This record gives sequence, structure tokens and C-alpha cells, in this order.
Amino acid sequence: MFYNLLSHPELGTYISLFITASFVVAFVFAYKNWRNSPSVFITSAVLFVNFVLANNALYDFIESAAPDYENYYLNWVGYNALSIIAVIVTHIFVRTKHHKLTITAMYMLLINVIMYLAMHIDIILRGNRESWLLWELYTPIVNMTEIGLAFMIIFYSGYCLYRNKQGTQKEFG
Amino acid sequence: MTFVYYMLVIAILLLVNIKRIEKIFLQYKGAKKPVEVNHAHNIAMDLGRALIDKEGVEQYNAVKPKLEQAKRYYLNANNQNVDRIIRTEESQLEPVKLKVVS
Repeated sequence: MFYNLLSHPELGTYISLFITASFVVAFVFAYKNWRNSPSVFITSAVLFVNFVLANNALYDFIESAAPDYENYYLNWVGYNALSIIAVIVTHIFVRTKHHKLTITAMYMLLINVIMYLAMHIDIILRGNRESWLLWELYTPIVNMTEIGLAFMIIFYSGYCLYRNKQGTQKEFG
Repeated sequence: MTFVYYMLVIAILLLVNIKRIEKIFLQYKGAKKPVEVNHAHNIAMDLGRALIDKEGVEQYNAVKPKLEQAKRYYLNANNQNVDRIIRTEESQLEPVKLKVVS
């Protein structure tokens, strides 16, 4: 699975915007379902903030805010690591148990972090400018992980909402 | 930017030890747990409150409908299994309201 985003730079922007939009939807769904699983709601809220703030596609519309190319990948490492810490600390403060989906989401974030770190080491620290296997794996893995994260939350919350609606109809309808 | 690496290490350590953290912070006395009670608990609580707070005729008026509820709960629960329900939800064994007979 390989698609060269360098030859189609607009495609990267569209994918990035699609991911942000899907995280907005995930946040809304999780908010509607927060009584059932507050853990998932906390995760979706933190991820929503993460993927809206740390999204370079949105910076394209603001000309003054040019991305920092020196720490291009390291910023994302920081944002994702911070969101993992934020999710766990918020759970401790709110005193809720971690849902299985939350733990899965955080391990998926860790995959992303490892990919960003590998790209940072390869491109910025080692100064490599030739495409190799890592570059080919990077784009699909990172994007699929992010889309998977969003859709995991959407499907789980949607399923819970649907099931509860059915339950109430059965009892009172 | 070295703090990013420290942050990453902290994140990985937290993520790996997530169950231990839960044990330390969530399982001490006074931790907020999801309140799961059944209808019988509600009736017993209301009865106890009425017996302590009120006296005389007021107490009788408060206790009598609760006893009626307990009777109906017994009649329902004797025939079917009692599910644990969350306090905010309505119980299937909730007794029907009594009709006023003059």
C-alpha cells in the first residue's frame, strides 16, 4: 500500500481535514454517550483537542503560522505523548476506570509516536533525503491509525446509543 | 526540545503501569464507585429516613406507603429474578401508583 503524497500535496491536506472532522463527530457521539462510558468521553475530548491543535492542515489557512520545520515531527511526538499523559491524569482526577477502548486508543497513539520519532531521527537528525521503506510505511500507518481511532470511538458510541434506544423502546414503548 | 523525550518516557511508563495506577488511586476508601443499588435498597433507605426524621402521625403517613411498596416488591420479586439497576434508571419492579379510593 503506497501512495506518494509528495506528488499530491493537496491530498494530505484533505486527509488531515477528514481526520479532524471525524474526531469532531467522535467527540459529539461520545458526549451523547458519556453517561454510559465517561472514560471514552474523556479520551475523545483529549484526542479532539490534540488533533485540532496539532493539525498542520488548519495552519494552511493562517499564513502567519508557518510550521516549524526543525521540530516538525517532534511537535507531534510531544502532542501525542502529552495527550496520553492527559488522558491518564484526567482519569485519576475524575476517578473513573480506564475503558478497554481507552487503553487501545492510547496504544494506537503510541504507534503513531514511534513512527513520528523514527521519521524525526531519520530526516532531521540523520539528514536522510532518500525515500526508503520507513517513508513508504509512515503515511499509511499514521493515517490509518488516526482514522481507526476516530471510527472506533464513533462506532462504539453509536452502538451504545442504538442499544440503549432499543432497550428503552422495549420497556416503555 | 529534550522535554519532549522526557514526556514520551513518562507517557510510556504511565501507559505500561496503568493497572497499578488504577489500583493505587481508585481502590482506596472513599473512591467514587458507580452507584448500583436495587429497588429494595431505595425502599429500605426511605423507611429508615422516615423512622428517624419523623414522629407520630407524620411518621405513620410516611411509613405506610413504603410498606405497601415493600409488599408489592415482594409480590413481584417472588415470581421473577431481581436485576441490579442503576439508581437513575427506572426499575421494572417499580410498583404502580395506588388509586385513591374514597
